[in-house]
Amino acid sequence: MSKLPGGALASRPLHFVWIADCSGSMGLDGKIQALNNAIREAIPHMQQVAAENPNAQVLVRAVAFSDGARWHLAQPTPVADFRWQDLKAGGVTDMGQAMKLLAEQLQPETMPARALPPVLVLISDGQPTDKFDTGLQALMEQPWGKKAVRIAIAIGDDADLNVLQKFIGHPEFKPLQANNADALVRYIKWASTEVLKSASSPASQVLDARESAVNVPLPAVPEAAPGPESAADVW
Amino acid sequence: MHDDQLLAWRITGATVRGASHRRSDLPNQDALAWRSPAASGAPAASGAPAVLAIADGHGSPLYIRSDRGARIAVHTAIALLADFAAAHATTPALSAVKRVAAERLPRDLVLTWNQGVAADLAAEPISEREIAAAKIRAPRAALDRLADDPRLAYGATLLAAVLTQRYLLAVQLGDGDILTVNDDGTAAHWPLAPDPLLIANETTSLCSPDAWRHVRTYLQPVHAAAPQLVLLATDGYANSFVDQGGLLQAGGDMLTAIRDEGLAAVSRQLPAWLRATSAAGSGDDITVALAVRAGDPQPSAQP
Repeated sequence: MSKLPGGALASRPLHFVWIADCSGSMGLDGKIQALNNAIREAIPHMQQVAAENPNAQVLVRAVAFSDGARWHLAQPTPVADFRWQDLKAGGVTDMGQAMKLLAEQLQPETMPARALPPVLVLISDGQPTDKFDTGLQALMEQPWGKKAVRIAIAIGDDADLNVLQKFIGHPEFKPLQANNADALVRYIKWASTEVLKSASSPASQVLDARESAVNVPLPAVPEAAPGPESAADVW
Repeated sequence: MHDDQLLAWRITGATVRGASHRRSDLPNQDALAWRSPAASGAPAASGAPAVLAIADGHGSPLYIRSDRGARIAVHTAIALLADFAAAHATTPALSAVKRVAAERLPRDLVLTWNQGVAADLAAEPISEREIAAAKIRAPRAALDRLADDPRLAYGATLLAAVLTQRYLLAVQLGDGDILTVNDDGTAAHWPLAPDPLLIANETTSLCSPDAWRHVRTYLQPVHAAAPQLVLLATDGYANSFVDQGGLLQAGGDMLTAIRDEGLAAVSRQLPAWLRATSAAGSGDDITVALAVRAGDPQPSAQP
């Protein structure tokens, strides 16, 4: 037969979501612009990694949270078409609302069973001002939330590491501490290339009901950033 | 089926290394085996049982010998299911056969697989070189688990079926699909529908704690009509299609191809079909086993 048996073929969708803190404090010391720059710089690297694995269809989205949470990039966007629109800082830190927003989009009705584990990257410089635990619970009640690869990047010393650790949900993996723009670039690039590469693989493993289970082998975290050039570089 | 009409099956299959595995220089971690009446010395139309099995070794870095685990799984299943069919060839009540299958086969399969793994480990313990290679990709906690329980290295799923004159029996542990295709080409999951909990590359496994509890069995008596085709596939196949309808269509298309071109021709083309499907789809290893009723109009080639 000339045609392959079966219906239409397609690579497996992989949802990659940036979850960005846009609270007022992110406007201090150039943090929000550093985040915008870091994500924009990572895009070509991310596109290259995706191109090297044609069996995963990487779809990018972004959530912004400050006074409430909203989709900054609502449409799952093929990484080849992904462009970053600058975020602006202002407001409080409604991280729990961001978790709920994610939970709504990770329901089985909206995620095909053949999807690869989603990658969720949370970036924050502060402490939640809403009910974070309730939001996280809503996320973790979704099978795809529980199975997601969850990465957290702390910007500066005021970030709530306990909250970010709860989001990661695994004792072996810690929040990445970015204390200057270079470190932020390095971690953003790692999440959007090395983690993406691991999540793109169809490698199966034994079902583990624990919330702390890791279903994607996480690559080694890049070395801590070298010291800042001056005290002004420190967040 | 009439009493004077023997139900006989012809079997073929293929297992191919996935496109993603080729890029990553990983081996094919699936396995395939079957025992057809012809292979056991009986003519295809003798009515002897046919047995087929496939397995999918886990691809995550912890499972450094999952290709071996998959091979042990299919050979275990073929031997046990053939023995089961022989032992119950004259058991009068199918309800008793069904009960024994549900109660005994899961434990026997897992026990025998574990014995096979233990023998392999005794013959060739996991080496420092293997551990060093796993360290590159596996989290430290995973390697600690492997040190505690080396049989984890062999983790694999298992799908198997035995097709006799009186019943069809399916056995499944973990992800993958078993389809039946009717005379008109319509296909359905039979009888073990996909488990909705098995998502995001996670599956129950022969190396799971209390693995036998996750083994599902289903026995279907053969009454007026048996399916024309039984298809077993590892999850790399279903994951290559946009939706489940694409997989079901594959079942019907396989039957059409066998009718139009013959089983031998399909056997020859199957590896290329599966490689192309993996390349344009999931990238995963794909294994498909097919059992087609020998009475179905077709050229008479044997695999």
